[in-house]
Amino acid sequence: MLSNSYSFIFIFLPLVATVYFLLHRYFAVKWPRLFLLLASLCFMSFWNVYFALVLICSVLFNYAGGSALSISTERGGRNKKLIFIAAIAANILFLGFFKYSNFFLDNVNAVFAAQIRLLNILLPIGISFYTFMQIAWLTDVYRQGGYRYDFVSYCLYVTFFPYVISGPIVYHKEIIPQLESKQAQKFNIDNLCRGIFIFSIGLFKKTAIADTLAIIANGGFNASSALSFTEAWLTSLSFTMQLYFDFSGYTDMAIGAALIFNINIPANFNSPYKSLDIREFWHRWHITFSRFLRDYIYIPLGGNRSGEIRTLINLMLTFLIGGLWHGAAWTFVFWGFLHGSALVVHRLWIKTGLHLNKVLAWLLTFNFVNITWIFFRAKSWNDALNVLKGMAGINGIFVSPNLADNHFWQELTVVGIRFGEWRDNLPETVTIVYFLCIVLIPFVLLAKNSNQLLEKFSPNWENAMAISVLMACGLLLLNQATVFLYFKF
Amino acid sequence: MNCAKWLKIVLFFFILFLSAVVSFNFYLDTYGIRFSLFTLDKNNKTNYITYATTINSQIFNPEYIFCNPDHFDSFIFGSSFTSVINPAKINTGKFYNMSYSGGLPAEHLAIIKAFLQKRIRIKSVIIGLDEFSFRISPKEHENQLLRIMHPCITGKSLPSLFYLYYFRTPQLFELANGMDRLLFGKQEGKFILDKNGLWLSWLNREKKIITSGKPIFINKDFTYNPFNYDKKLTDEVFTQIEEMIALSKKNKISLIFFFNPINSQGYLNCALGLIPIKERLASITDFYDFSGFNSVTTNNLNYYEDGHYRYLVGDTIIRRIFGCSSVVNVPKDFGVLVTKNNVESHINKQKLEMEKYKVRFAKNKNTLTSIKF
Repeated sequence: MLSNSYSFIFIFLPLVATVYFLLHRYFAVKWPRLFLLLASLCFMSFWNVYFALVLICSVLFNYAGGSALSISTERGGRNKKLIFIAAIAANILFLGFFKYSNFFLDNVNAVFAAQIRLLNILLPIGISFYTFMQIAWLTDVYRQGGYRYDFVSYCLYVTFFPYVISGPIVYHKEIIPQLESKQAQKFNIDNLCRGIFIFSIGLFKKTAIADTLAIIANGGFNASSALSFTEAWLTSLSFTMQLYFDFSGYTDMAIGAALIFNINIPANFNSPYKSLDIREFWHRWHITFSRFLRDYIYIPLGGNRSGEIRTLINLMLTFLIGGLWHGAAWTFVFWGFLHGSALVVHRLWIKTGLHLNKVLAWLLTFNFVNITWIFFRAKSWNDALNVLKGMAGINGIFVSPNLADNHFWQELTVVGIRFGEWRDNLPETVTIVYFLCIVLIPFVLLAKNSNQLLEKFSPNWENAMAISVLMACGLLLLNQATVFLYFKF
Repeated sequence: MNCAKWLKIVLFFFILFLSAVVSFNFYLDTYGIRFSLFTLDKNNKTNYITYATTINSQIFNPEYIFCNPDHFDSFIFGSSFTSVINPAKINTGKFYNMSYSGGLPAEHLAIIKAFLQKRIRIKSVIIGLDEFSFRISPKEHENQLLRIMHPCITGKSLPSLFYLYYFRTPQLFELANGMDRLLFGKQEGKFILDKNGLWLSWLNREKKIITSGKPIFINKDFTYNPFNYDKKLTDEVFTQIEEMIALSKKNKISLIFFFNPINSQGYLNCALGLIPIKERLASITDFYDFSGFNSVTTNNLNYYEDGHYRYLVGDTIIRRIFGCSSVVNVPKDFGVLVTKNNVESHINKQKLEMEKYKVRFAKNKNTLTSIKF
């Protein structure tokens, strides 16, 4: 079940919230929590029962491991390190088996010209997120001891349906205390309004903006070999915007759904495309993932405490792991490498004491991010390189045939500019859709983001009207009907 | 403002907005689905049906036949390319042209089955095949309002169809059409169909060609990038074709397949991929092949745009298959009856024609088209 589906919005979410607060009203506190846990497992089962089983196995194993670790830490036991290493290794193997087995076998086959059959494994949805969340808990227990939670609360923390599928990667210490607090037990109309407010914004971002941008991004990447200059740029920019509005829209929906249960989830995006350097970008983009990388990979590797060269190596290693976390393909690793390299260059640049002009800094950062997303989105190296070739103008730069009589443009044919259709390889759609990615640039630069709007939310006529329209548009756009006219007569 | 009031306002305007959109979609009926299922003159009293934009013929045509089961006993199936074949000019049966936008063999089969189930007599069936018949999955049409199939044929419920049709945001062109209709009462009929299912929407272009005596479109720049057909999808289409053949044998239906005369430039990229498909088709049934690089397909004068051929070409097809229609001269190289016995020589000839075509275009720098090989 997707959070942007009618069944979730009209049935699952209201039903679960109603029963949850009714149980809180009439029964002991453990029952509504248990109910919410079961509802979350049901949510996962709607995708696939097997996904729910994998999730249950992971939670049970980690709870047992974490509890043993916590006891051992409190007693100053010698087994502490052993338990910790075994638990972390098991989590990595668990994730590795489901997510990276075929990638590994594929590479073995390629390197050794072997023909090992790939495994028939279905990747359990959300596995990367809940594995990282639990690794964070295990590490905290190992470092500081304590953090021993009630079994149901822990299970609910890991499986809570608003974020179990695609994050944010929340920490136990920011969620479990909320789940166990008295505030969480009472229906709060203020939180309901705030939840609906940000959920509607997220739904609109996903269905109206991201899914519209996807038309050009998907069409362009599918026809990557023939993209001309304009087509390639529109394709890459559409994907850059699509990814932001899709992921941040989903996060807004997760924040909104959790708020209805009086749970505050940390913000995951803070207008990342406003960034003036790559470091700032990673402080604004997928924030909960960045802080996980920092807290549980970069710092344990030594962070910046072991000299400059080691710091740079740590940065690079962190981002290579971050790249691989996003997907089992070399293109993701390369994407991580590019970002790691950019952070290394940025760190060295800072040391020179030089400063770039703000406009230039933004242009450089935005274009770097835009170009690196190509490797993130492309199905293969060839696809990525083809889009880049198109962006470099190797497949031709086309301008409207209406300009063919213009002397200025005729002169430019010498440098390879040609007259012809500039969108031949992109899907046929209304003109505004091609340029939506550009129209959105000033919007993402100047407008407040959804978290800023939520912070300042107070019920009034204006936002009530706006939210009702956004919600209605978002819901209508969930309809999968494809509308086009047969224009050719 | 307190939160409870805010929630009430949100809910009120949410319902109001949704209702307005659904009512607008219902009123506009962009693809004529409501018109086809409920408003259509089911007694076939009119000679022409006109509609403001374009109609979903996948729903209109079967509904029309369901309402008039005794009027026709033979059917031409195909995509919009086939829609210019005039059924009135075929004298071997009471033909109706069932063509619909993007028509695929799986959809033709489903409609034939539905007709047989409803005991509609079928004497002859002509199936027009296109290059995309073997590369587009019918699943792609399931959410396309222009191509979604009749609920009686798919077995899907009317509410699910109407949900898809009405519970959606209108597109810009729909808003413009709606404004025209609401404010000015305009209902320009762009889609015109005669009582035998012939699309008359190309008549304006036909007049332009006759007046100017020149082609009315220019080929776009073209990249030679041969297309490979997906084996799984091709196998599925052949299963459907075999089922059609078995059905027609069982029900004593005369079944004729033909390949549409696809414009040479559009055909070039799929020519190689279609060769094994044509060989395979010939092994299970005879068919007429109007595609390739013949005197009709290489002359833009025979087309309204880069895909749709003229009524005149439709008449020529009838002439070649049935020996009737008013067209006197059928070019010798246009339309070959391909059988098991001649398929090899036919394919070899087509390969040769393709090579010549490529060379001709590569040499001729003065043509309106440039091809990158």
